Amino acid sequence: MAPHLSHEDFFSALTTLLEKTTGKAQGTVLLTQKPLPASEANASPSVLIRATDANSNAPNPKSADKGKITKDKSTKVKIGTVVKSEELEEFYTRYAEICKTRMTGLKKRDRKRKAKAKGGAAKTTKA
Amino acid sequence: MPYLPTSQAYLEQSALLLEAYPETVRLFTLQSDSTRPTPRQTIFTYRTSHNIKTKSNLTTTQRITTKYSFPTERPAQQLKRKKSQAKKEEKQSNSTEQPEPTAPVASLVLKTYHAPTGICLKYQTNKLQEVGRLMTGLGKLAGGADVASLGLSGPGVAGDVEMADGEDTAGVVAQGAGAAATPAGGKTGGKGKKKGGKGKR
Repeated sequence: MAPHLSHEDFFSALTTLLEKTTGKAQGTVLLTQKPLPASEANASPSVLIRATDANSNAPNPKSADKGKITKDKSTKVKIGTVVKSEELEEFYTRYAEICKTRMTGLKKRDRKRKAKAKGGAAKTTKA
Repeated sequence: MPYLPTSQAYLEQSALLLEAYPETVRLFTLQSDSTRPTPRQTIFTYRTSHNIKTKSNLTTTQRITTKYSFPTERPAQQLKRKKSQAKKEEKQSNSTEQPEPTAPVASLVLKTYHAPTGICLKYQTNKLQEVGRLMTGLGKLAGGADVASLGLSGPGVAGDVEMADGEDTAGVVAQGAGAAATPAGGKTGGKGKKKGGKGKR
């Protein structure tokens, strides 16, 4: 496991990961959060955040008999960061913002009806 | 495992799970601790006991996984989607709006898993507008929020009632209800949230 990233690095890596997945309209991004057990080093509870592209490093069992791996699995993206309890709020504000803006593969809110109802306001924004 | 019907229910149930099994209680495995004669034994301990050397991944904490994924398409499905897109473009070519390129709609699956009990809570959505609220909710869960603070900040039924109360008595209640909202202008915040709830239903 690679060492944990700083928050900045984590966010930039997460942004590229999400953008890449959305751009291809294919694949998966897995985000995990779990509380870390408190140790002597850090008395305050912290949360481990991880993100991967769910690209398994295991060879495909179907292609095992042919002796080759169909996809290049060496490019697995695996990032993680530790958030201390006092930084939680700040971190999650940015985290939510990034997820909101980059997960554009999801269904957008249908604003057409609203824009028609408002009429003038929508036109001014367009012009 | 069943999926929960609303995001609010999901967050609430997750909070309840957290409450039922507080994260401070962890399963530790002792590994040749000098203060203890037996080299290996499994005990329950609290976070405050620092003298115990922990060397185990058997933490009884709940893990929350958010899976953002695009569906895998069979070639036939791909073809179908492309055809329908072409049709749409034809339809929209005479209107002023430019056609949006259609892509398979991604899905977001949230899963709370509590390993020792095997409890698993799931919620699936494909709405972009829910992402922000969900992630904020997860942040609160990570911070160990209780059900009350979660329930009031969402647009659930109970939340609506609270908002109505807040508007009548103004000020204090509305501010208390909007835990996540900005403290200033509790009245307007409550109204905005109500509107959002109506639009959804």
